[in-house]
Amino acid sequence: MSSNPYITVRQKKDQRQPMRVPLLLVQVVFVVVIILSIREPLSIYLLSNTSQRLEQLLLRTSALLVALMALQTYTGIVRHPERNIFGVHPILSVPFLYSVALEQVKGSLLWWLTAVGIWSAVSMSWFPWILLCLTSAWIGGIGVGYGVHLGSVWAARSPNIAPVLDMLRGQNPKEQAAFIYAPGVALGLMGLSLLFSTGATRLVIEGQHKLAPWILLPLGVGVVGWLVALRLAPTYLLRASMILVDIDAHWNSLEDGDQEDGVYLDWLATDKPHRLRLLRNSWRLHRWVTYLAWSVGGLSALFLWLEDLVSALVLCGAASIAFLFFPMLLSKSEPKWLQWSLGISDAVQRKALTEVSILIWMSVGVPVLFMLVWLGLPGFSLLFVGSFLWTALMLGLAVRAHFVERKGTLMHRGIVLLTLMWWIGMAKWMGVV
Amino acid sequence: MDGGCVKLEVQGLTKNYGRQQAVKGLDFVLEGGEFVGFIGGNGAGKSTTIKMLTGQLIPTSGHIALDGHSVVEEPQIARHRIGYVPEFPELYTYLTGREMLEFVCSVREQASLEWGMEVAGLGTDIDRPIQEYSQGMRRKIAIACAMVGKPAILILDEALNGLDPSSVKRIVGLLEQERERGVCILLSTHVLDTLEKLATRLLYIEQGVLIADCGIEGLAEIRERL
Repeated sequence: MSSNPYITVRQKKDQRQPMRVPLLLVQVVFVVVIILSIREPLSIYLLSNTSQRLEQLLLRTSALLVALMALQTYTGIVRHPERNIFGVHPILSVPFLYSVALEQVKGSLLWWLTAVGIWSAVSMSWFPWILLCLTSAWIGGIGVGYGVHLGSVWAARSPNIAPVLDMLRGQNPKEQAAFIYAPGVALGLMGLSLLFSTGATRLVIEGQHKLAPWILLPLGVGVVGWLVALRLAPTYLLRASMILVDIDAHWNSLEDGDQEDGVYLDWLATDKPHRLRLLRNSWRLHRWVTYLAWSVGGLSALFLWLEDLVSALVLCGAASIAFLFFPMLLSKSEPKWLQWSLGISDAVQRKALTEVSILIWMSVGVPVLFMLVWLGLPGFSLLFVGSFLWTALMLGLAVRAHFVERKGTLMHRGIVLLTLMWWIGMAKWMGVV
Repeated sequence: MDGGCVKLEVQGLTKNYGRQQAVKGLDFVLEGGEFVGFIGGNGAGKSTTIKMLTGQLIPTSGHIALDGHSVVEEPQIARHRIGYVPEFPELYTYLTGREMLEFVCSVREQASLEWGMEVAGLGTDIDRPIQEYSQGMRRKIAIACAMVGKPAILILDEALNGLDPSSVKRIVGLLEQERERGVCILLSTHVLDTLEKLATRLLYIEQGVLIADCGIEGLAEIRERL
């Protein structure tokens, strides 16, 4: 084990993650499929107007890598998912930075492989230079990302930057504006170096080898970013925790007038401030759940249209089980102490959480029921309506279990089991299994 | 770390969430050797105050100084000198209790694993993964994590909730021992019986306002208000 405590914790987590190898395999297969489907068309595209196209495509690939790294460094250093655990203790800034950087290099290796892989069908004499260019952008992007994100923590509370942030923030709190625009700043800082690097790569491929060091310019910028991060980390790693609590509190505090209300289903929350607050949190932090729910609903409806009842049932049943975990996900953005500090009672929170969970869950149900009615299958419609209502009831119970301190997890498992049994029972009743 | 003459000064401490004032201009000083009961109902502002004292939250206004160092400007100093148990502690659930303590020992100065294990009092369960622990066992590990570095100030937010009576008795004994060593202890709770035997001083907060800063003799009056 490493002498770096953060790396040690990470290694143990990796060792104990049962799905690690299968998940990795799925990712590798995904990357291989992408590479195989893009590398040939890319090589063909480069056959004409080669010099210009090579530089442009390389610039875009590098910029995409840098943008991805800028987003990932935000999660690594600001919104670290385990910040509430290590953040109550002193943070050893340098070991912590090294651990998240190492983690990110590992975590983004597949992105880099994808970027490199799609270029793998070009001439072998070009490939080493392209590899160097992309690697320089990748590692440089990580270094710059850390510097910029820790800088954004400083900027979030800096009186000198405040007027700029006020101008840019829209309905976001000022501090959040600093975080939102940080990836853009990282990309902006890297932009010029990427231009030089990709231009140099093209010229080196054309024979001007003395320009090769310019390919490493993004890496150099990344090193500077990393040094800045090392300097800022002792103060701003901890300051980030404080600011994040303020941002979450902003979104959870109830105010009139300056609320952002343009969120999914807000028309169902008129004069229901707590429902609106949770809808807003759901839209702000877990928008993907809504998208996924509609996609699952749409896909299930498609299966019904194709007369594939089994697939529709399996998909809806699996979605209902997964959805029982949504209330926990949603309430994570509102730690109990904050909820109480804002004067929101458990009963009010429970009610709002149940309502919002059911509303989002309906995104699965609506397309399915619409399709059943359209196909003129009233019997099946009733069965599906019953199942969606059952899941809604179970969601309500899952929320209740979430508020039970001791036996909550056990209760939740029971609820999941009951839901599973309902869907299996329904499948049996309909004679599809 | 020796408690000794540690001093935590709080002046005009205020925290607003939007237009809502959660904490309104608190003033008090905590010193080594005190066992302070921090009392108030749910939503009274206890957790918000504690989060500001421990450098987890930035005050809207006011000043917190730990031995002259601003907790907001120099949060790292506060983290080293203050041991903190949040009301809802989060732990690395994939680690064992021992590994969790080892982690905390490696980030805190002068921490002792043996002392942490003694505080946790989990016996052979210390080598089981935390995800298999009951709520009470998790709380014991969280308390041990806070105490393992022998901090000068211990701040416990409803930390004894959910513990069985014998564990409460054992941990209270350890806290008392620490207080005698010069450590300042702030225990936030709405269960007043524990404080009756331990506290040397009480702070009572209601709707973000410090209503009472008194000795243990004020407990009866606070009990009536609660």
